[in-house]
Amino acid sequence: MITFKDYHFYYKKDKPLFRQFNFELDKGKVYGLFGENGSGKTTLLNAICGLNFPKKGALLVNNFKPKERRPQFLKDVFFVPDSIKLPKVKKNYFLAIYSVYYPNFSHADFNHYLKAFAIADNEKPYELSFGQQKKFYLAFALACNTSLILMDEPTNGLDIPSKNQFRKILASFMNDEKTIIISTHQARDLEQVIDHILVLTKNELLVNQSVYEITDKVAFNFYSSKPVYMDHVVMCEETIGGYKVMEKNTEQVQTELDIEQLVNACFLAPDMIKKSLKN
Amino acid sequence: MSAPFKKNTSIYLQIAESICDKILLKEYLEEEKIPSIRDMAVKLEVNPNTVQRSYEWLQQNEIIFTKRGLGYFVSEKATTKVMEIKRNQFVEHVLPNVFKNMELLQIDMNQFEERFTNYLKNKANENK
Repeated sequence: MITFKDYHFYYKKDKPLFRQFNFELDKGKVYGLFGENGSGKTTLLNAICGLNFPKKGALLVNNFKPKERRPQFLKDVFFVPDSIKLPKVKKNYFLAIYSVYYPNFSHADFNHYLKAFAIADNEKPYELSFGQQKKFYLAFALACNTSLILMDEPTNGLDIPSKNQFRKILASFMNDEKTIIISTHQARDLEQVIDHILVLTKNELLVNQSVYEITDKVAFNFYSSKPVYMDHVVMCEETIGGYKVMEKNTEQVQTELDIEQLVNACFLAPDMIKKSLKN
Repeated sequence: MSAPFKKNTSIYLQIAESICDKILLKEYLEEEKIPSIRDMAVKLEVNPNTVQRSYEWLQQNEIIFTKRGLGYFVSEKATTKVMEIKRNQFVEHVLPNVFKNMELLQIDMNQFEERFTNYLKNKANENK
């Protein structure tokens, strides 16, 4: 479990990035972290794994303070950054040096993931293309079987079959004891595996709700003509052949969540979002 | 009951509907086991929590049931249940749209009877 309590962070004192964060993230979920460029997605992931420290308040991850960087904490957390450049060492050597930090590392899982990602068997993974190196690193990260895994734009550089495989792997990897936080701009890539949405906007976490809670309150509908009654409408976008309308859910049945429209609405109409997602 | 299986329905209901369709098509037989939550999640590339919700919905509607430790099974009366839900949905939510279009395009009801009879005839011939 991750707990932010009165948490503040800034790079420059006169430009606060996160102000007064108070929230908890539970285990057993796949979190999708969304936000504009510069909204602090990567900064937040860095904070959770101890790469930056709170300026004020507290951050607890699995009952540890990440800033203390205790081995007991670090062995159970894995962070996959956006761009990866593998060190110039051979595959076996890479595994020998890095896997020892993760007691739950599984060779069998690692080989299984490499195969699923169709990575060329290469003794020198650092010579592979960007996408292949990324997949190699993702395979390693998942094989470490840490209870918390943070991924910054994991589908960047992945080819189409690998994205399919990645979703399959996440589906089989997930269980009640694991937490996955994925920061991404490619909402479509992972829409169906994410079950909890986090949206960062101007200094705050505007949305922190499960897909189920969100679709219980708002519906995402498509109409061939512009809705006449706009009372329930949060956002209405004209598109090919009609209108994509995000509106108050007045039925007991939920529609499919359109993450792109939700995130767009967070930037364009944050107050409407707050009002319509209020508990 | 409102329409669970409309076009833009949430993923968990889409999955539930696809299982209902497989029951109608006899791909999943009554009293037989269906894939586990995890296997289904991997196959469909979705979060296991979503499939869990689909299975809960199917259980609430008495379409599947669980045998402790053995997994999920199609209920004895699943086909009847699914037909009931789908028929209801058709009458309550599909027909009104058809009627709306019929009125708009000034289509006479009588044209349909003949078409439907022909359709059934053709189908019977195909199956011979």
